[in-house]
Amino acid sequence: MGCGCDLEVDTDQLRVAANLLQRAAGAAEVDGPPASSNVAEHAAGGSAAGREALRLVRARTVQASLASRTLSQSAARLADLLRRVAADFDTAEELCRAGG
Amino acid sequence: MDHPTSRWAHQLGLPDPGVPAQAVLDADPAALDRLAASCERVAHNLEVGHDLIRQALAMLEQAWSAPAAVAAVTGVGMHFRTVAAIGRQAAHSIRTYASGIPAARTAVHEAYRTADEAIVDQGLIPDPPVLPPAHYEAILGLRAYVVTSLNTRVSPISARLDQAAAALASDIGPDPRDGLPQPSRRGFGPAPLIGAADGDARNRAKLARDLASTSPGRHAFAVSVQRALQHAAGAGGIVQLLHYDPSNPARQGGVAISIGDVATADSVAVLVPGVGNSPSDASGALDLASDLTHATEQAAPGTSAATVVYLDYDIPLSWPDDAMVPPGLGAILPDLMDTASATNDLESVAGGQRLAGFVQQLRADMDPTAGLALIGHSYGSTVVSRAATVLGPDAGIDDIVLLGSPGAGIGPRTAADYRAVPADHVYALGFPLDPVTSPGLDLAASLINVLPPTPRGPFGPDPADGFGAQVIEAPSSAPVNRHSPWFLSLATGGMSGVLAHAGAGPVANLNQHELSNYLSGTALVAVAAVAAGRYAKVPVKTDR
Repeated sequence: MGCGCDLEVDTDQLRVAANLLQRAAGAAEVDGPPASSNVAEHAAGGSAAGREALRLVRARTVQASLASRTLSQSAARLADLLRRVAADFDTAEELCRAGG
Repeated sequence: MDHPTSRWAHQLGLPDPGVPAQAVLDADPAALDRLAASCERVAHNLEVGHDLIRQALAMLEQAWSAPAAVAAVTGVGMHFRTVAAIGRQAAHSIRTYASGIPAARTAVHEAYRTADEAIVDQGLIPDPPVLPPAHYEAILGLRAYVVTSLNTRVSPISARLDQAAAALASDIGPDPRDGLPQPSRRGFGPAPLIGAADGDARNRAKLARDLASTSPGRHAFAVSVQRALQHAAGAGGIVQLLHYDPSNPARQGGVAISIGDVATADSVAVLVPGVGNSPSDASGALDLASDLTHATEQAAPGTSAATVVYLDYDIPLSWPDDAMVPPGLGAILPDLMDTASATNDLESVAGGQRLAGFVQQLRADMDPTAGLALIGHSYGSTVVSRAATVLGPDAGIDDIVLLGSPGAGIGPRTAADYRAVPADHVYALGFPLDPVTSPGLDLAASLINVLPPTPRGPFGPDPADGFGAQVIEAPSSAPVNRHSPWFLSLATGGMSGVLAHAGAGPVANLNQHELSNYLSGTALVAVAAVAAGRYAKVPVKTDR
């Protein structure tokens, strides 16, 4: 049985896609450790409703940073996977051509 | 607020216009803008990332026909877009609220300017004897009119800002981490999740070793802690042994046990019980912690809570329940010292320091966006007060709650003296018939206190009276005892006798002081609302 060595995968384009994902990961990256949402300040006023809203706002602000960092890691992991897939396809093609 | 109308309001028994006015003037639109900008920055970065992912997807679809790869990249791209939208929404809500603040502040300043003009025009400032007594009644009437007029103008301004704050809270959107792919919602980083679970496992291993110990004290202590853990687990839910120290300096042993998972809870409360409690008999406190956990979750539906019972300071009058202390004559002197320590705030200094260290570790184990409240009862409130002076504003404490407090101890003269929290995040509650919060306790304790007397009494200032804390308005749930056999109460150890011999009157109502009373009924709902950060649900006295 013959071996078709020209696999229908464009590994160069895969690497370009991986690089784009890596750039997306870089855009979403957040520097430094996540700060606690607690900040002793009176941004929203001294009323109970104001302090309640501020506590929620602080939490959302930190949560947004944490979410961004999570997504950055996800995109970076996908980029890494695509690069490895591209390398594996290249290796497979070379083996095929070598008659392996 | 430092204005004559505030003083007059107190004198005349009228609502103080300074309270709503200060609430408006404290609002800081610039700080809110900074928070909005932070959300916008995240949203912008994710939008840029989303564009890049779309390009990557187009490239991937041409390069490789595998549906799983396309689906994975599509999924991440959708999350980028969703979180960016939540960030934009949050920033918009914050800016909408902040935009109303300058006009509200201007309106308050204008109202006070009008009041100042009336005060000067009508000569309302002087008091007797400068003011002729004959004119005084008329002046009082005019002052009441100015105060009432000011209230009529300022209160609606504050109410409108409160409505806007409530709208902000409901419009700001969900936690942007909801539904994200791994690493999990709480997973950033792995340390918080591993920290609490790891600590629990390590402490349980230490406990297991002590259960097999040949040392009678260690063995007895371990058995008592094991019993408490089993008791708490019997109610269902997660129970974590966050701290276990049979050899703490207090000679009583020390434990910290959580009802609920501190690593994932949205709100964590640390409950520090007071005199008469023992780390060897934590079951009662754990039952109350369970009540508080459930009440906190009810105060903020859809959120999770955990309550940590902290018993790792030298608790006065713990000796009737301490398992570490061998029975017999050798224990008498330590027991006497343990009793004497209830008459001053000395133990709270070291205890506050230990609590501060525990809280720092706990905060590191928690979700960084979770709320953290320290709640102290009786002598435990003095320990919490001390910890709040030791810990700084970056310690991640949201609120402190001082229940049935004999005093705030060494250091703070007012709520504004705490470093860990601003004054309006300090809550206090003392029931009127609680003998421990009454001046009678100071008198009694002073009579037998071994330390030199201090001007503010052996326990420091009363946090529920003139301290500048938010004083919770909640009735006691305990019946008033006219002739209760209080002296037989083991729960209060020797304190009852101390008070009785000192002639402090209201000791018949020691049931008013029980932690179970402070964590039941309206008081429990109020304390839980603080722990949940639902401050608008906390009934407080307007006169601070």
